[in-house]
Amino acid sequence: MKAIISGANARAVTIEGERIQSLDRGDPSGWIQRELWEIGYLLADFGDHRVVEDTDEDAVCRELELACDCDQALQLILIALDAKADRSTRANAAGDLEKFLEDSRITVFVESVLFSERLPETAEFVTLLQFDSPSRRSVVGSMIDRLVRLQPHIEIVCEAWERIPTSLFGSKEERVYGRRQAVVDGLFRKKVLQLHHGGAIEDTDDQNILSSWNENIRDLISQPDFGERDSTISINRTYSYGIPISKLLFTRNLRVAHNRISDGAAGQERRRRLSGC
Amino acid sequence: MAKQSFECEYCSFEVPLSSSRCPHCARPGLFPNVRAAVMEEEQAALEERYQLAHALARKHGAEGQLAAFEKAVEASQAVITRKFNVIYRLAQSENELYSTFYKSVEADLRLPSGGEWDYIRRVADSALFSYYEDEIRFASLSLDGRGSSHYGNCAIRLKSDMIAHRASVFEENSALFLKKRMASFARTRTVPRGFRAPWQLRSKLAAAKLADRLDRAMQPGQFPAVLARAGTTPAEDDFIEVHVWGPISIRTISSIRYSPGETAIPSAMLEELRRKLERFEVILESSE
Repeated sequence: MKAIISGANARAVTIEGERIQSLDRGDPSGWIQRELWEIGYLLADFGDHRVVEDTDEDAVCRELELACDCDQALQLILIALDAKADRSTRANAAGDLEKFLEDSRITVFVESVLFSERLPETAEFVTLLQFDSPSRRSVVGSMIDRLVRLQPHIEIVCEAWERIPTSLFGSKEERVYGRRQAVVDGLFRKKVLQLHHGGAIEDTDDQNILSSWNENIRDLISQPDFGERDSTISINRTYSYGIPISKLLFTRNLRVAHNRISDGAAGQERRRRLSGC
Repeated sequence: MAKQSFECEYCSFEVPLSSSRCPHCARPGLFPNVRAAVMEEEQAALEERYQLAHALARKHGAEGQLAAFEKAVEASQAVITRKFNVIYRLAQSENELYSTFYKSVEADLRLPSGGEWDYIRRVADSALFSYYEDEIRFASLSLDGRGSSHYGNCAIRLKSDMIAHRASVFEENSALFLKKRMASFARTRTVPRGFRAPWQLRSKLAAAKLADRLDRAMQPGQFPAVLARAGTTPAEDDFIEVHVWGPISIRTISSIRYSPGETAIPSAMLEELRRKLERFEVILESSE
């Protein structure tokens, strides 16, 4: 059985031979028999489809739950960071987010998105952190702390990505897809954490996207201002940033068309080139 | 052979029917779906069906009902039914656009190939929206702001003045319409005439299609269910399909009817949606 799962759409569609079914999260009707012509209508609105081959209904249910939770958690953190949202709404969002972040898979997903872009200069964290009690840092507060602390590393990793020649992707469009794939696969997060923990950025001789990215990171951290960059962007300074959420909204789009990269022959090729395999 | 081009009103050179602007002088023209609907052959065939509908109503003593029905449909609106998250994303900014089936799916997903759907879709593409299928958004015609519940819990009502110039209406779900007529289409390569109309003539199409469902005892309160009938499956839904050419943003929407489903939406997301919709002056009705 092949399944197409969209967390944003809260829907999974399975295809097994001629048999097509859909499952909407929370729909008491459960699995619904569908016809081929309906697939477009069922999956048209979001690009966060993930295709799972050789699966079964139980696994699809679990995957769907997780995908939906990941999507909601991402929306909630964006509300929580939104300086334009009501204070009470932001507090609610932060509160709701707590329970989602108890699941490490959801935390990894949210961080994978947040660690893939520098925060805009006017991000607003202070209010969010004020929701915490003085004696106890919430899970959301800790995530924000970490996000702020890692900004210099995120900046390096992002800049290194931008320096990868477009020719390695094949086209500008492929470059966009490749970036989205790298975000969803958690590669930005992985490199940011690797850099933060002082891990070596592997050297490879391959002329692929990944090795170019690594080379750029090594190049950036070897520059004399790297240490300064690391030390001068203090948490306090970063806290004083006040980010209009509109600038952060790109993160919503990062998930769009995920499946464009992950599915089909072209997707496989992108994946192969990204991983250098 | 159906007409494949028209004459530019300014430079008088030939413009393909599928083009929304003259390829020679670049002046904008009618939207291709609207142009297809106003073609002489379409209009003549629709007029014929419309006259038959009136004759039928006369026979059943339901002429008054048919006239009242047509009057009601003149004020009908285009409704798209989608899930909460679609609305939520659209409301994030006026730059967020409601994607088309082709833009968001065709490029993204490897649908089962070589199957019936592929064939139906190809038929629909070539027959109804040659070369501009990726510009068409689908909606249904509604008198009460409700749409098919099979595709989501939010009924999005479009502002008529934002779509009237670029919308056309079609007899029913176009994929199913062509599926039913696949054999004849394969033979003739033409879509039967008289089943589409420009937005301004939607009541005429509705009368032609639905006159036989009206009777002399029918009250105006029953018209919404005549115009759009909910089935137990999507294939059983019966409605007049609206084809809107071009983008739809939050500014194209007049109101949203939200029916809370079984899936819990975090309260912060609902509050945030309300705030954003207020900013865009979109009414959010909750049908709890």
